[in-house]
Amino acid sequence: MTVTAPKAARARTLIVDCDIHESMSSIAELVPYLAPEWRLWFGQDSKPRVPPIHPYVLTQGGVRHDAQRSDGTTGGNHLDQVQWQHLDTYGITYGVLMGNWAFGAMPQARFAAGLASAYNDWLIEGWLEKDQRLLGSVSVAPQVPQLAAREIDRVGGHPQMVQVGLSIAPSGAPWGDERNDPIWEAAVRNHLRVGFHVQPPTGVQGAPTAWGWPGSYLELRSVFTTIFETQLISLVCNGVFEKFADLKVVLVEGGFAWVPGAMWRMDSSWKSVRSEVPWLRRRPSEYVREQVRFTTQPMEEPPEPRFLNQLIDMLGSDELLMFASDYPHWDFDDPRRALPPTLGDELRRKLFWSNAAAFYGLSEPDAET
Amino acid sequence: MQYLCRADELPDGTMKSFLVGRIRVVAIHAGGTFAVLRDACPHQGAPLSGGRLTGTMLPSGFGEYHLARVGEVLRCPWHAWEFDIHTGRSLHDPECDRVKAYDVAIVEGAVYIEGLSGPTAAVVEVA
Repeated sequence: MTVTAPKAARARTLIVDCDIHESMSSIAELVPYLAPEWRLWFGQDSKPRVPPIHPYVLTQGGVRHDAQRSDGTTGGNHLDQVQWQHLDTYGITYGVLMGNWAFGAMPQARFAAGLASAYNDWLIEGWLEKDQRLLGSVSVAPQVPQLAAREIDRVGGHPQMVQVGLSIAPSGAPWGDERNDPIWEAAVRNHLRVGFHVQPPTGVQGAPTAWGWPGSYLELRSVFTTIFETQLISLVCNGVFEKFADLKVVLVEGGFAWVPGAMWRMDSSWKSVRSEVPWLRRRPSEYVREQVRFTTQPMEEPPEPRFLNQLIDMLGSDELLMFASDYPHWDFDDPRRALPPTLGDELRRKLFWSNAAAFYGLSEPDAET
Repeated sequence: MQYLCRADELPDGTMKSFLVGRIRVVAIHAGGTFAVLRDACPHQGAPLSGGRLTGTMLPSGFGEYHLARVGEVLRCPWHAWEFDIHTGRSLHDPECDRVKAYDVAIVEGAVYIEGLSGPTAAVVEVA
Protein backbone atom coordinates (compact mmCIF):
# COMPACT_ATOMS: atom_id res chain seq x y z
CA MET A 1 0.00 0.00 0.00
CA THR A 2 1.14 3.54 -0.71
CA VAL A 3 -0.07 6.74 0.87
CA THR A 4 0.83 10.33 0.20
CA ALA A 5 2.67 12.42 2.74
CA PRO A 6 0.23 14.16 5.06
CA LYS A 7 -0.44 17.72 4.01
CA ALA A 8 -0.13 20.45 6.59
CA ALA A 9 -3.31 21.45 8.32
CA ARG A 10 -4.82 24.62 6.90
CA ALA A 11 -3.00 27.63 8.19
CA ARG A 12 -4.45 29.04 11.36
CA THR A 13 -2.29 32.06 11.10
CA LEU A 14 -1.52 34.78 8.59
CA ILE A 15 2.05 34.65 7.38
CA VAL A 16 4.19 36.98 5.33
CA ASP A 17 7.33 35.19 4.22
CA CYS A 18 9.85 37.97 3.61
CA ASP A 19 12.44 35.89 1.75
CA ILE A 20 11.62 33.49 -1.08
CA HIS A 21 14.05 32.85 -3.91
CA GLU A 22 12.72 32.62 -7.39
CA SER A 23 15.45 31.96 -9.92
CA MET A 24 16.16 31.26 -13.55
CA SER A 25 17.24 27.75 -14.47
CA SER A 26 19.43 29.42 -17.09
CA ILE A 27 20.29 33.01 -17.94
CA ALA A 28 19.00 32.15 -21.43
CA GLU A 29 15.49 32.59 -20.03
CA LEU A 30 16.14 36.32 -20.18
CA VAL A 31 16.94 36.47 -23.87
CA PRO A 32 13.35 37.03 -25.04
CA TYR A 33 13.07 39.95 -22.62
CA LEU A 34 16.40 41.58 -23.50
CA ALA A 35 16.61 44.77 -25.53
CA PRO A 36 18.13 43.99 -29.00
CA GLU A 37 21.36 45.84 -28.28
CA TRP A 38 22.04 43.60 -25.33
CA ARG A 39 21.23 40.42 -27.24
CA LEU A 40 24.19 41.35 -29.39
CA TRP A 41 26.37 41.14 -26.28
CA PHE A 42 24.99 37.77 -25.45
CA GLY A 43 27.02 35.33 -27.48
CA GLN A 44 26.48 31.67 -26.75
CA ASP A 45 29.78 31.37 -24.91
CA SER A 46 29.09 34.36 -22.68
CA LYS A 47 25.89 33.03 -21.13
CA PRO A 48 27.56 30.90 -18.45
CA ARG A 49 29.55 33.95 -17.36
CA VAL A 50 26.58 36.08 -16.29
CA PRO A 51 25.52 36.97 -13.80
CA PRO A 52 28.72 36.21 -11.90
CA ILE A 53 28.35 33.78 -9.05
CA HIS A 54 30.29 33.87 -5.83
CA PRO A 55 33.39 31.70 -5.63
CA TYR A 56 32.43 29.50 -2.67
CA VAL A 57 31.46 25.85 -2.95
CA LEU A 58 28.73 24.89 -0.51
CA THR A 59 29.46 21.33 0.56
CA GLN A 60 25.92 21.00 1.87
CA GLY A 61 24.47 22.29 -1.41
CA GLY A 62 22.87 25.67 -1.94
CA VAL A 63 19.33 24.37 -2.17
CA ARG A 64 17.33 22.13 0.16
CA HIS A 65 17.99 18.56 -0.88
CA ASP A 66 14.27 17.89 -1.00
CA ALA A 67 13.78 20.81 -3.40
CA GLN A 68 16.32 19.60 -5.97
CA ARG A 69 15.06 17.93 -9.11
CA SER A 70 16.54 15.16 -11.15
CA ASP A 71 16.86 17.43 -14.21
CA GLY A 72 19.30 19.65 -12.32
CA THR A 73 16.79 22.44 -11.69
CA THR A 74 15.53 23.38 -8.24
CA GLY A 75 12.29 24.39 -6.56
CA GLY A 76 13.04 28.08 -7.03
CA ASN A 77 13.11 27.64 -10.82
CA HIS A 78 9.47 26.56 -10.95
CA LEU A 79 6.44 28.55 -9.88
CA ASP A 80 4.40 25.36 -9.42
CA GLN A 81 6.96 23.92 -7.01
CA VAL A 82 7.13 27.14 -4.99
CA GLN A 83 3.36 26.89 -4.78
CA TRP A 84 2.95 23.24 -3.76
CA GLN A 85 6.07 22.79 -1.70
CA HIS A 86 5.96 26.10 0.08
CA LEU A 87 3.05 28.53 -0.29
CA ASP A 88 0.32 25.87 -0.11
CA THR A 89 2.02 23.57 2.38
CA TYR A 90 2.51 26.33 4.94
CA GLY A 91 -0.43 28.52 4.08
CA ILE A 92 1.76 31.51 3.26
CA THR A 93 -0.48 34.57 2.89
CA TYR A 94 2.10 36.66 1.03
CA GLY A 95 5.58 35.72 -0.09
CA VAL A 96 8.20 38.29 -1.02
CA LEU A 97 10.35 37.20 -3.95
CA MET A 98 13.81 38.62 -3.45
CA GLY A 99 14.79 39.15 -7.09
CA ASN A 100 18.31 38.89 -8.43
CA TRP A 101 21.01 41.16 -7.09
CA ALA A 102 23.93 39.42 -8.79
CA PHE A 103 23.75 41.99 -11.60
CA GLY A 104 25.28 44.40 -9.06
CA ALA A 105 28.55 42.46 -9.19
CA MET A 106 29.14 42.99 -12.91
CA PRO A 107 31.81 45.44 -14.07
CA GLN A 108 29.94 46.04 -17.34
CA ALA A 109 27.35 48.12 -15.57
CA ARG A 110 25.13 49.11 -18.47
CA PHE A 111 24.81 45.56 -19.72
CA ALA A 112 24.04 44.60 -16.12
CA ALA A 113 21.26 47.20 -16.08
CA GLY A 114 19.86 45.71 -19.31
CA LEU A 115 19.85 42.26 -17.76
CA ALA A 116 18.13 43.57 -14.62
CA SER A 117 15.38 45.11 -16.77
CA ALA A 118 14.87 41.84 -18.60
CA TYR A 119 14.77 40.01 -15.27
CA ASN A 120 12.04 42.30 -13.96
CA ASP A 121 9.89 41.64 -17.03
CA TRP A 122 10.56 37.89 -16.67
CA LEU A 123 9.51 38.13 -13.01
CA ILE A 124 6.33 40.07 -13.68
CA GLU A 125 5.18 37.83 -16.52
CA GLY A 126 6.17 34.45 -15.13
CA TRP A 127 5.56 34.90 -11.41
CA LEU A 128 3.77 37.99 -10.15
CA GLU A 129 0.99 37.90 -12.71
CA LYS A 130 0.38 34.21 -12.07
CA ASP A 131 -0.02 34.26 -8.30
CA GLN A 132 -1.41 37.17 -6.31
CA ARG A 133 0.27 35.90 -3.14
CA LEU A 134 3.65 36.72 -4.58
CA LEU A 135 5.20 40.16 -4.07
CA GLY A 136 8.20 41.29 -6.06
CA SER A 137 11.52 43.05 -5.62
CA VAL A 138 12.74 45.32 -8.39
CA SER A 139 16.15 44.08 -9.50
CA VAL A 140 18.63 46.75 -10.51
CA ALA A 141 22.29 47.25 -11.33
CA PRO A 142 23.24 49.77 -8.64
CA GLN A 143 26.67 50.41 -10.16
CA VAL A 144 25.06 53.35 -11.98
CA PRO A 145 22.50 54.65 -9.47
CA GLN A 146 20.78 56.86 -12.05
CA LEU A 147 20.10 53.84 -14.26
CA ALA A 148 18.85 51.91 -11.24
CA ALA A 149 16.47 54.79 -10.46
CA ARG A 150 15.18 54.74 -14.03
CA GLU A 151 14.44 51.02 -13.77
CA ILE A 152 12.69 51.53 -10.44
CA ASP A 153 10.50 54.16 -12.12
CA ARG A 154 9.81 51.80 -15.04
CA VAL A 155 8.50 48.79 -13.11
CA GLY A 156 8.09 50.03 -9.53
CA GLY A 157 4.46 50.91 -10.12
CA HIS A 158 3.42 47.29 -10.65
CA PRO A 159 0.88 46.61 -7.90
CA GLN A 160 2.77 43.55 -6.64
CA MET A 161 6.21 45.20 -6.56
CA VAL A 162 6.89 46.07 -2.94
CA GLN A 163 10.58 46.82 -2.75
CA VAL A 164 13.88 47.39 -4.48
CA GLY A 165 16.08 44.31 -4.03
CA LEU A 166 19.77 44.91 -3.38
CA SER A 167 22.71 42.91 -2.13
CA ILE A 168 24.00 43.97 1.27
CA ALA A 169 27.40 44.07 -0.44
CA PRO A 170 27.52 47.41 -2.25
CA SER A 171 28.85 47.74 -5.79
CA GLY A 172 31.70 50.01 -4.79
CA ALA A 173 30.99 52.83 -2.36
CA PRO A 174 29.25 51.87 0.91
CA TRP A 175 25.46 52.09 0.76
CA GLY A 176 25.41 55.29 2.81
CA ASP A 177 27.52 57.14 0.23
CA GLU A 178 25.62 60.02 -1.35
CA ARG A 179 26.22 58.68 -4.86
CA ASN A 180 23.58 56.07 -4.05
CA ASP A 181 20.96 58.70 -3.21
CA PRO A 182 19.10 58.39 -6.54
CA ILE A 183 18.22 54.80 -5.60
CA TRP A 184 16.63 55.80 -2.28
CA GLU A 185 14.92 58.73 -3.92
CA ALA A 186 13.37 56.47 -6.57
CA ALA A 187 12.28 53.91 -3.99
CA VAL A 188 10.49 56.58 -1.97
CA ARG A 189 8.99 58.15 -5.12
CA ASN A 190 7.49 54.77 -6.04
CA HIS A 191 6.33 53.92 -2.52
CA LEU A 192 8.70 50.97 -2.41
CA ARG A 193 10.74 49.61 0.45
CA VAL A 194 14.36 48.56 0.02
CA GLY A 195 15.41 45.01 0.85
CA PHE A 196 19.10 44.26 1.35
CA HIS A 197 19.84 40.54 1.11
CA VAL A 198 22.88 38.62 2.24
CA GLN A 199 25.29 37.75 -0.53
CA PRO A 200 28.84 36.54 -0.63
CA PRO A 201 30.30 39.48 -2.54
CA THR A 202 31.87 38.88 -5.90
CA GLY A 203 33.03 40.89 -8.92
CA VAL A 204 33.02 44.64 -8.31
CA GLN A 205 31.58 44.13 -4.86
CA GLY A 206 35.02 43.15 -3.58
CA ALA A 207 35.90 40.71 -0.81
CA PRO A 208 33.60 39.77 2.09
CA THR A 209 35.91 41.38 4.63
CA ALA A 210 38.23 44.35 4.46
CA TRP A 211 41.09 41.86 4.89
CA GLY A 212 40.10 39.52 2.12
CA TRP A 213 38.45 36.18 1.66
CA PRO A 214 37.54 33.76 4.45
CA GLY A 215 38.92 30.28 3.77
CA SER A 216 35.73 28.33 4.46
CA TYR A 217 32.02 28.77 4.00
CA LEU A 218 31.60 28.38 7.75
CA GLU A 219 33.84 31.37 8.28
CA LEU A 220 32.12 33.31 5.51
CA ARG A 221 28.62 32.61 6.85
CA SER A 222 29.75 33.70 10.30
CA VAL A 223 31.14 37.02 9.11
CA PHE A 224 28.11 37.92 6.99
CA THR A 225 26.77 39.82 9.98
CA THR A 226 29.73 42.18 9.78
CA ILE A 227 28.77 43.18 6.24
CA PHE A 228 25.28 44.01 7.46
CA GLU A 229 26.64 45.91 10.43
CA THR A 230 29.01 48.06 8.38
CA GLN A 231 26.32 48.88 5.83
CA LEU A 232 23.62 49.68 8.39
CA ILE A 233 26.03 51.98 10.21
CA SER A 234 26.98 53.57 6.87
CA LEU A 235 23.32 54.30 6.04
CA VAL A 236 22.69 55.77 9.48
CA CYS A 237 25.85 57.87 9.82
CA ASN A 238 25.63 59.32 6.32
CA GLY A 239 22.18 60.61 7.11
CA VAL A 240 20.32 58.54 4.53
CA PHE A 241 17.37 58.08 6.90
CA GLU A 242 17.34 61.81 7.68
CA LYS A 243 17.50 62.78 4.01
CA PHE A 244 14.81 60.27 3.09
CA ALA A 245 12.43 60.25 6.01
CA ASP A 246 10.00 57.97 4.15
CA LEU A 247 12.67 55.41 3.29
CA LYS A 248 12.17 52.08 4.99
CA VAL A 249 14.62 49.24 4.58
CA VAL A 250 14.80 45.60 5.61
CA LEU A 251 17.98 43.64 6.18
CA VAL A 252 17.31 40.11 5.00
CA GLU A 253 19.16 37.03 6.22
CA GLY A 254 21.65 39.03 8.23
CA GLY A 255 20.57 38.00 11.72
CA PHE A 256 19.62 40.41 14.48
CA ALA A 257 21.55 39.40 17.61
CA TRP A 258 24.21 41.97 16.68
CA VAL A 259 21.74 44.83 16.31
CA PRO A 260 21.39 45.94 19.97
CA GLY A 261 25.16 46.23 20.31
CA ALA A 262 25.45 48.21 17.07
CA MET A 263 22.73 50.60 18.21
CA TRP A 264 24.29 51.08 21.65
CA ARG A 265 27.70 51.73 20.18
CA MET A 266 26.42 54.25 17.63
CA ASP A 267 24.41 56.05 20.32
CA SER A 268 27.39 56.15 22.64
CA SER A 269 29.68 57.58 19.94
CA TRP A 270 27.00 60.05 18.88
CA LYS A 271 26.81 61.52 22.37
CA SER A 272 30.51 62.29 22.22
CA VAL A 273 31.19 63.25 18.61
CA ARG A 274 27.86 64.19 17.13
CA SER A 275 29.26 67.51 15.95
CA GLU A 276 31.08 65.46 13.33
CA VAL A 277 27.75 64.31 11.88
CA PRO A 278 25.46 67.24 12.63
CA TRP A 279 22.97 66.00 10.05
CA LEU A 280 21.94 63.31 12.51
CA ARG A 281 19.24 65.10 14.47
CA ARG A 282 18.35 62.11 16.59
CA ARG A 283 20.10 59.23 18.26
CA PRO A 284 21.28 56.72 15.64
CA SER A 285 19.19 53.98 17.24
CA GLU A 286 16.02 55.97 16.65
CA TYR A 287 16.54 55.84 12.88
CA VAL A 288 17.06 52.11 13.13
CA ARG A 289 13.90 51.52 15.14
CA GLU A 290 11.77 53.67 12.89
CA GLN A 291 13.12 52.90 9.45
CA VAL A 292 14.88 49.53 9.55
CA ARG A 293 13.51 46.01 9.87
CA PHE A 294 15.24 42.62 10.13
CA THR A 295 14.17 39.15 9.04
CA THR A 296 14.37 36.06 11.20
CA GLN A 297 16.02 33.44 9.00
CA PRO A 298 18.46 31.96 9.78
CA MET A 299 16.73 32.11 13.13
CA GLU A 300 19.03 32.98 16.00
CA GLU A 301 19.21 29.83 18.14
CA PRO A 302 20.61 30.79 21.55
CA PRO A 303 21.26 27.93 23.96
CA GLU A 304 18.46 29.16 26.23
CA PRO A 305 15.16 30.07 24.52
CA ARG A 306 14.63 32.91 27.01
CA PHE A 307 17.69 34.66 25.57
CA LEU A 308 15.64 35.23 22.42
CA ASN A 309 13.01 37.15 24.36
CA GLN A 310 15.76 39.14 26.05
CA LEU A 311 17.31 39.90 22.69
CA ILE A 312 14.01 41.26 21.40
CA ASP A 313 13.70 43.35 24.57
CA MET A 314 17.15 44.73 23.87
CA LEU A 315 16.10 45.79 20.38
CA GLY A 316 13.83 48.23 22.17
CA SER A 317 10.81 47.32 20.07
CA ASP A 318 8.97 44.14 19.13
CA GLU A 319 8.10 45.59 15.74
CA LEU A 320 11.51 45.22 14.11
CA LEU A 321 11.50 41.52 13.22
CA MET A 322 9.70 39.84 10.34
CA PHE A 323 9.51 36.14 9.52
CA ALA A 324 11.43 34.72 6.55
CA SER A 325 11.89 31.14 5.36
CA ASP A 326 14.55 31.50 2.64
CA TYR A 327 12.79 28.83 0.55
CA PRO A 328 14.26 26.88 -1.25
CA HIS A 329 17.74 27.45 0.13
CA TRP A 330 19.54 24.85 2.22
CA ASP A 331 19.04 26.64 5.54
CA PHE A 332 15.28 27.07 5.06
CA ASP A 333 13.31 27.78 8.24
CA ASP A 334 9.97 26.03 8.71
CA PRO A 335 7.28 28.52 9.81
CA ARG A 336 5.76 25.86 12.06
CA ARG A 337 8.99 25.34 13.95
CA ALA A 338 11.31 28.31 13.57
CA LEU A 339 9.67 30.68 16.07
CA PRO A 340 9.76 28.99 19.47
CA PRO A 341 6.53 28.93 21.54
CA THR A 342 8.42 30.71 24.33
CA LEU A 343 8.06 33.90 22.29
CA GLY A 344 4.35 33.87 23.10
CA ASP A 345 1.37 34.13 20.77
CA GLU A 346 1.26 37.90 20.50
CA LEU A 347 4.90 38.26 19.54
CA ARG A 348 4.68 35.34 17.12
CA ARG A 349 1.71 37.03 15.45
CA LYS A 350 3.75 40.20 15.06
CA LEU A 351 6.69 38.34 13.56
CA PHE A 352 4.54 36.28 11.21
CA TRP A 353 2.15 38.96 10.10
CA SER A 354 1.64 42.40 11.59
CA ASN A 355 5.19 43.72 11.45
CA ALA A 356 5.58 42.84 7.78
CA ALA A 357 2.00 43.84 6.94
CA ALA A 358 2.70 47.29 8.38
CA PHE A 359 6.09 47.51 6.68
CA TYR A 360 4.84 46.56 3.21
CA GLY A 361 1.34 48.00 3.59
CA LEU A 362 -0.45 44.66 3.22
CA SER A 363 -3.98 43.89 4.23
CA GLU A 364 -5.60 40.59 4.98
CA PRO A 365 -6.82 38.94 1.75
CA ASP A 366 -10.59 38.46 1.38
CA ALA A 367 -11.78 35.29 3.02
CA GLU A 368 -13.31 33.95 -0.21
CA THR A 369 -10.18 34.27 -2.29
CA MET B 1 8.43 -7.14 15.63
CA GLN B 2 6.85 -5.08 12.94
CA TYR B 3 7.28 -5.93 9.26
CA LEU B 4 8.48 -2.93 7.26
CA CYS B 5 9.42 -4.04 3.76
CA ARG B 6 11.30 -6.62 1.77
CA ALA B 7 15.06 -6.08 1.98
CA ASP B 8 15.36 -6.09 -1.81
CA GLU B 9 13.05 -3.08 -1.99
CA LEU B 10 15.98 -1.10 -0.58
CA PRO B 11 19.05 -1.32 -2.82
CA ASP B 12 22.37 -0.57 -1.16
CA GLY B 13 22.88 3.16 -0.65
CA THR B 14 19.21 4.06 -0.72
CA MET B 15 16.54 4.95 1.80
CA LYS B 16 12.77 4.93 1.88
CA SER B 17 10.13 6.45 4.10
CA PHE B 18 7.31 4.46 5.74
CA LEU B 19 4.37 5.25 7.90
CA VAL B 20 3.94 2.74 10.73
CA GLY B 21 0.71 3.52 12.47
CA ARG B 22 1.07 7.28 12.88
CA ILE B 23 4.86 7.32 13.05
CA ARG B 24 6.96 8.07 10.02
CA VAL B 25 10.29 6.26 9.79
CA VAL B 26 13.08 6.11 7.26
CA ALA B 27 14.70 2.79 6.40
CA ILE B 28 18.26 2.89 5.13
CA HIS B 29 20.43 0.26 3.46
CA ALA B 30 24.15 0.87 3.94
CA GLY B 31 26.51 -1.79 2.66
CA GLY B 32 24.49 -4.84 3.66
CA THR B 33 23.26 -3.45 6.97
CA PHE B 34 19.92 -1.84 7.53
CA ALA B 35 18.99 1.01 9.83
CA VAL B 36 15.66 2.60 10.65
CA LEU B 37 15.27 6.08 12.11
CA ARG B 38 12.35 8.29 12.96
CA ASP B 39 11.81 10.31 9.78
CA ALA B 40 11.79 13.73 11.41
CA CYS B 41 14.73 15.94 12.23
CA PRO B 42 14.75 16.98 15.91
CA HIS B 43 15.66 20.51 14.81
CA GLN B 44 12.71 21.67 12.70
CA GLY B 45 11.00 18.42 11.80
CA ALA B 46 12.16 18.03 8.21
CA PRO B 47 11.69 14.52 6.80
CA LEU B 48 15.21 13.11 6.92
CA SER B 49 14.33 10.85 3.99
CA GLY B 50 14.48 13.98 1.82
CA GLY B 51 18.13 14.42 2.75
CA ARG B 52 21.32 12.79 1.62
CA LEU B 53 23.18 9.64 2.57
CA THR B 54 26.77 10.72 2.73
CA GLY B 55 30.01 10.52 4.69
CA THR B 56 31.74 12.88 7.02
CA MET B 57 35.18 14.27 7.73
CA LEU B 58 36.98 12.87 10.74
CA PRO B 59 38.64 15.27 13.17
CA SER B 60 42.04 16.09 11.71
CA GLY B 61 44.95 18.46 11.77
CA PHE B 62 44.51 21.89 10.18
CA GLY B 63 44.31 21.67 6.41
CA GLU B 64 43.77 17.90 6.31
CA TYR B 65 40.60 16.11 5.24
CA HIS B 66 39.85 12.50 6.07
CA LEU B 67 36.61 11.32 4.56
CA ALA B 68 35.07 8.40 6.43
CA ARG B 69 31.83 6.61 7.20
CA VAL B 70 30.61 6.99 3.64
CA GLY B 71 26.97 5.94 3.41
CA GLU B 72 26.53 5.89 7.19
CA VAL B 73 25.69 9.53 7.71
CA LEU B 74 22.29 10.97 6.93
CA ARG B 75 22.26 14.69 6.32
CA CYS B 76 19.03 16.60 6.86
CA PRO B 77 17.62 18.34 3.78
CA TRP B 78 17.27 21.60 5.74
CA HIS B 79 20.30 23.03 7.57
CA ALA B 80 22.36 19.92 6.74
CA TRP B 81 22.67 18.46 10.25
CA GLU B 82 24.47 15.09 10.17
CA PHE B 83 23.12 11.95 11.90
CA ASP B 84 24.70 8.55 12.47
CA ILE B 85 22.27 6.19 10.73
CA HIS B 86 22.89 3.39 13.26
CA THR B 87 22.43 5.35 16.49
CA GLY B 88 20.38 8.34 15.37
CA ARG B 89 22.79 10.59 17.21
CA SER B 90 23.87 13.81 15.55
CA LEU B 91 27.56 14.19 14.89
CA HIS B 92 27.70 17.72 16.31
CA ASP B 93 25.98 17.00 19.64
CA PRO B 94 25.35 13.25 20.07
CA GLU B 95 23.88 13.63 23.57
CA CYS B 96 21.33 16.36 22.96
CA ASP B 97 20.47 16.37 19.26
CA ARG B 98 19.39 12.88 18.29
CA VAL B 99 16.66 11.11 16.43
CA LYS B 100 15.06 7.84 17.53
CA ALA B 101 16.82 4.77 16.10
CA TYR B 102 14.87 1.51 15.99
CA ASP B 103 16.29 -1.97 16.42
CA VAL B 104 16.22 -3.76 13.09
CA ALA B 105 16.12 -7.45 12.28
CA ILE B 106 16.38 -9.07 8.85
CA VAL B 107 14.37 -12.27 8.76
CA GLU B 108 14.10 -14.29 5.58
CA GLY B 109 14.80 -11.28 3.36
CA ALA B 110 12.40 -8.96 5.14
CA VAL B 111 13.11 -5.89 7.27
CA TYR B 112 11.49 -5.85 10.72
CA ILE B 113 11.70 -3.23 13.44
CA GLU B 114 11.14 -3.27 17.18
CA GLY B 115 9.15 -0.79 19.19
CA LEU B 116 6.50 0.21 16.68
CA SER B 117 3.40 -1.46 15.38
CA GLY B 118 0.50 -0.63 13.15
CA PRO B 119 -0.53 -0.55 9.52
CA THR B 120 2.53 0.08 7.38
CA ALA B 121 2.69 2.00 4.13
CA ALA B 122 5.40 3.53 1.99
CA VAL B 123 5.32 7.32 1.96
CA VAL B 124 5.60 9.12 -1.34
CA GLU B 125 6.11 12.87 -1.33
CA VAL B 126 3.61 14.73 -3.47
CA ALA B 127 5.46 16.07 -6.46
